[in-house]
Amino acid sequence: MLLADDFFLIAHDDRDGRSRLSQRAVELGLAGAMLGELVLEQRIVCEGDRLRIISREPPSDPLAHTNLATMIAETQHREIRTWLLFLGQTAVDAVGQRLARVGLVEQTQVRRLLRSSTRWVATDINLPAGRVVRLRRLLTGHEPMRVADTTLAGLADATGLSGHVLWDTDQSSVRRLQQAVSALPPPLRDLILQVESAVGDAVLSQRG
Amino acid sequence: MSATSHARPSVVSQALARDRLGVPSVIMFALTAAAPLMVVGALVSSAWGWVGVTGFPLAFVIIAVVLALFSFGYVAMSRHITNAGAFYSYISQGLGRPLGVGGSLVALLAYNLLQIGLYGAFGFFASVILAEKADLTVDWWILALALWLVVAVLGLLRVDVNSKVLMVLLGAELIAVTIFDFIFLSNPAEGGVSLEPWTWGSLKDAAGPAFAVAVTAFVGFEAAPVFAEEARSKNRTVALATFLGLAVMVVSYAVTSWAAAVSIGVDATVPMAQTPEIAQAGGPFFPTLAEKGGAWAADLGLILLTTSIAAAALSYHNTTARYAFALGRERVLPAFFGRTRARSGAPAAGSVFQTLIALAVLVLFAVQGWDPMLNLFFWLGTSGGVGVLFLVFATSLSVIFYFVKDTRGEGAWARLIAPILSTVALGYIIWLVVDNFGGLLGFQPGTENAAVWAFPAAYGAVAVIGIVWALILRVTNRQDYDSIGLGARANTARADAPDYASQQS
Repeated sequence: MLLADDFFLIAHDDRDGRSRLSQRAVELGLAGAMLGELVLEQRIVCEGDRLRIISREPPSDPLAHTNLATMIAETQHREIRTWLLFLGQTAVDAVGQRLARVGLVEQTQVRRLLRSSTRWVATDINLPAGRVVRLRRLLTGHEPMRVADTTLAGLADATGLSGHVLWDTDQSSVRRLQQAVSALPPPLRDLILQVESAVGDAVLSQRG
Repeated sequence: MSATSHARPSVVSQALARDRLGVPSVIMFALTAAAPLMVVGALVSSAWGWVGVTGFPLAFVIIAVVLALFSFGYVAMSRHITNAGAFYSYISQGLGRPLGVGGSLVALLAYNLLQIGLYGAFGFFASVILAEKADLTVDWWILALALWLVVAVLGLLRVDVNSKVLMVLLGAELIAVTIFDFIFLSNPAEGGVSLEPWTWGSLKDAAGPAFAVAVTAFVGFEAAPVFAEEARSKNRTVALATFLGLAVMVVSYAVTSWAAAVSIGVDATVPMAQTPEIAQAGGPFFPTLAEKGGAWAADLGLILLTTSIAAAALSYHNTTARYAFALGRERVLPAFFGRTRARSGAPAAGSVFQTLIALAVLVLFAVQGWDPMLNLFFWLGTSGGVGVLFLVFATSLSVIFYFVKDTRGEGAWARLIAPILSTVALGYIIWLVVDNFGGLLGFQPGTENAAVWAFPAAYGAVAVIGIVWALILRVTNRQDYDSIGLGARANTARADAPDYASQQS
């Protein structure tokens, strides 16, 4: 499963599709996951707070393709923070639509007071729960972790989801997670750190 | 940025620009730090009696001028540093990390004192309203605990009072205060409208304590640089918001504190404020307002006052929680302070921490039967203001040192001249305040009381603890030490260490 799809399913309630995080944190996490997809596909690398394009070959996924094409066109923007904020603006709908195209989620309109908002609800309630359980099993040391899994776990931790994934485990799982993240290849580790500091800045500057 | 040099407009730049804060939102945010009714109706009204002078209009003007001088360098530096919302970031990057950590603990203490002090005033004035309007006798601490509970819950839900709501409240307060000024000035006491409160003669007997009260009134002026990175045209917006905030504060505070004293009678104000029954009623401001303007004016004022205090209590609570959050991210405080509550994104540990401290203090005051206005509101509030004064001084000094190494394209006025002038002035004001701290707490000169030295000593103690802790960190954990002062970006500095390389080998 693609990184942002996985993050999307974990970050939303499996029954009603409500976000488990504040809006800004979901957006930044999803944007980080979309960048992570491009890193895993070896199209870009993250170096400190900047990214660099290493291959212009279009990825097979249309969303990743669009994201890469935008990056290639916007040569003046190479700060990871800029891309997290930019991709974050449309991330929920973009990834929601991608999941909807393969039938994993459905779009629903929720009316609350005067505003109506869009939510994406999983068609199979077992799927999101299964993704959480899978990540949890990885973090508690039951299965070997691949780079993509560690990146997902790192993004979940950076945005504040690790409490949801590791709801009752002891400190050793948390430490295992931190060790795994710091042992990631630098492009992914730097990406996760950028997401974490962007989420923290959103708290300090009082933005959603 | 570079977007203008490209013939084709950047989609990314445009999309991000739409999300940035415009001039009005930042100004609105900065203005909501002003609370004229709270400052004059509660703070100055108490201070007339306890400090024993009427020269607050002059004190407000002097402090506003000094803070405006300070703000030139402060705003200039905010453009160049991360975590620009917190004084200790400036101190860390200007005077070094040990002093920065010392400053961060001073700030935590000061904002806690300011926040908790507000519970005293809220409980007191709310119980006055209930007693007069509903004939209900409710102890102040029950009402204070009610507000405490509301703040605790809203803090965890990450509810900030919407800045538009705050703006409406402030607008109502400013209109009310203008009406009150009109009432006061058209009903002067015998002897007519006196300009004496604007003169040094009415201030010199207790200049230090009066300055401390004035600084307390201006707390919040420092908030706009939080948006240094979020504002659309940050060079202009943050500076404009800061100076406009100071201007609104100084005009409303100085004029209202003068008008009220004129109406009470400049010579009669201090003796009246010191009579026990007036002191029990929160000072002469509202009794005089009721007498000269009618009961409706005092009722309106009291209601706006309590809402304003409640909003300020929530705002200071959130400020304190975010401070602890930033320190947790930097590992100056334990790391769990740097985590958020998932659903709301609230800095949960910091919020709970502040809530528990406030509860402990409220219980202590309720059990001991200490006075909610003098001991809780006035002592803790003004002591918190003095803590902010220390921080402003240290920050002012930091600005000078920060730009000595590299001018970063800032003009001589903003990076050197104004900061030097404000540092000297702030240093002198601090000397006046500390020299007569007993006067601030309402004691006669020479009175022996633990409180006279306890508050300044507490700041000294936490500053020393912070400095020592930073020095320990420098030896034991160089990565954490290097990231001090970076706020939420501390993690990226920490990662620059060759973590990965060492694990590969």
